[in-house]
Amino acid sequence: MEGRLQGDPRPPGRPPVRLTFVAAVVLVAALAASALLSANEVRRHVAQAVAHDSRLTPVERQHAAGDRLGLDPAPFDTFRLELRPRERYAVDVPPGGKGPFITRGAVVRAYAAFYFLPAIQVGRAERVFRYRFR
Amino acid sequence: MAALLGANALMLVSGLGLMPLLGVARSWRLLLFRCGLAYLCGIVLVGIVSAHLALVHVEFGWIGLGLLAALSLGLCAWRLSGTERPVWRRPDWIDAAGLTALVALTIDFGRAFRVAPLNRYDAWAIWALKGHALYAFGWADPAVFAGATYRFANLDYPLLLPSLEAVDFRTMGAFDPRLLHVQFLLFLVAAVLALFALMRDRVPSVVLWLSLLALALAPAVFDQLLTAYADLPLALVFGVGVGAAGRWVLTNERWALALATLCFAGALLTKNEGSLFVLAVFLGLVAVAHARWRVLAVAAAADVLLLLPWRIYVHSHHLHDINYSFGDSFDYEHVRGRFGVGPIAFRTLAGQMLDPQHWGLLVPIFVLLLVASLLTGARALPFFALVWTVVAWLGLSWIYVISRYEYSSYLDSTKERVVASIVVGGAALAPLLAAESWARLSARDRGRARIGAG
Repeated sequence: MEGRLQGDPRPPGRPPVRLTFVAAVVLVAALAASALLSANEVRRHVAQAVAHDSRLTPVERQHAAGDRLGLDPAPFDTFRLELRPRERYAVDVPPGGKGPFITRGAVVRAYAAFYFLPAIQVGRAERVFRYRFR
Repeated sequence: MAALLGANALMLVSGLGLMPLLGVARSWRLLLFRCGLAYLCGIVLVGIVSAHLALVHVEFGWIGLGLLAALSLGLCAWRLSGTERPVWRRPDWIDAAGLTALVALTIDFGRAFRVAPLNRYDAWAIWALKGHALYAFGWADPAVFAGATYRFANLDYPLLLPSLEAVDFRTMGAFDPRLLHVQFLLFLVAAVLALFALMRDRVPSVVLWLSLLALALAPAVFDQLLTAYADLPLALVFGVGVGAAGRWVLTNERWALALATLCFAGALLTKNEGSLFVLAVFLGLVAVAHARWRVLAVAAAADVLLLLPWRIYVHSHHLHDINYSFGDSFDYEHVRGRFGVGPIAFRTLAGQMLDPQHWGLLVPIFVLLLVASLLTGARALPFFALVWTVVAWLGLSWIYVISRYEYSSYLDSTKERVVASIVVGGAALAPLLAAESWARLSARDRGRARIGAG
């Protein structure tokens, strides 16, 4: 600006460089690139998820969490059939191997707590769910 | 599916009715103009109400949804009676294209969400377990929600998300772990519509829609929503709050702060980490708008008040975070032994945020716009963005320092998702930063042109 006021050699009729235009083009290009990059990646994720998950049978879907943990579904199903809502039960499971955060036994307790709802897991009860690792 | 969509339609209506009460819409015309905010407001409202009612043994299902929708709609009609009516205008073709893209994305993603199994640990062990228990028992029964055998389920985590899941189960009439995922997709739809409505009168349509699509298409958004974890719903609600707070910084519109307050209450009641992010944002707001401290204090007090019932429940049942305690920040011996974890976590989280295979170019664009905004002379908005992101980033890194877990396993298993709120919050501010820089550059160009012509 100072140069202009003090005698900028550029002809006065010439429009100034449109920084706004350049910035806008760069921004729109970057946003479009991000959207396209992501769309290309996420397309594969969607396709993989649909291909894998739509093939699951109702039983596989019901035990999806246990299967992911490598748990045998049969003892869980058998015990669940005998449970009534709000009935108290305890879990008898050996500690098993130690994972990064909790033991295998603790994972079984957690899965039982989820799978046996609306029955309620407690420390001690007459009804006991027994699980042994193969 | 019809019941789930019906429940969400009632949430939308509840949100629509809430908008005049928040000051978002002071006329029918503005209500229509900003109706995109209604859905997210409704989800957050229903989440907050049902989470609080769950503490006092009140079920929230069809009747609750219907009553809330009717009440908020009635108040809305009363509040707006006699105000300016909307006038039909031909929709902007860019907005129409953007909305079409959002619909297409929702349908495409929906194919995966409709069939996803509930198999990720935190999803079933924390969120769905609590949602199922709320549905089965009708409230936060301490037999489960404070039971010693349920400690693994992060019992101190607040109940907004499980309460929403329970509302869905009640309306569907069953615990359906499959359709549960669809609610997570609807969170994304609600957040995108909210950000559009929030910024459509301040940001050029092309920039706004490209920003929103870049966010919605980010692979991490799809992947994390599909896990049915709470991190992405937290990030989306928090992100809309950040966008609203950013707008308030620029314009001082009370409704924007009211909206931000609602979203931050939602974030606080979604996950414990929400407290860190909301604190970071309020620090940012105080840093750049300390002259407006009175309204900020009211907003902060409202958020604390909305969190209070849950904190009382947690305190009265002696529930503690099993992953970390901020109190350990003062355990000198513990912190000294793990101080080196801080820089590692800081760098690792940065790497996650910058990973284009997870988040596209969202973070580089946000940083670029932040710098551009500063260079063009803007101060309040970029400093707000800078303060909250750095505080949140440092805070997350600090969690790995004070945690008692072996840090590398803890970091590895959580790094992808904990950064979601920072990335989404940054992405939500990006269009505002762009508009602010644009306005300043245009003013400079016009100034130069005037001087040149003179």
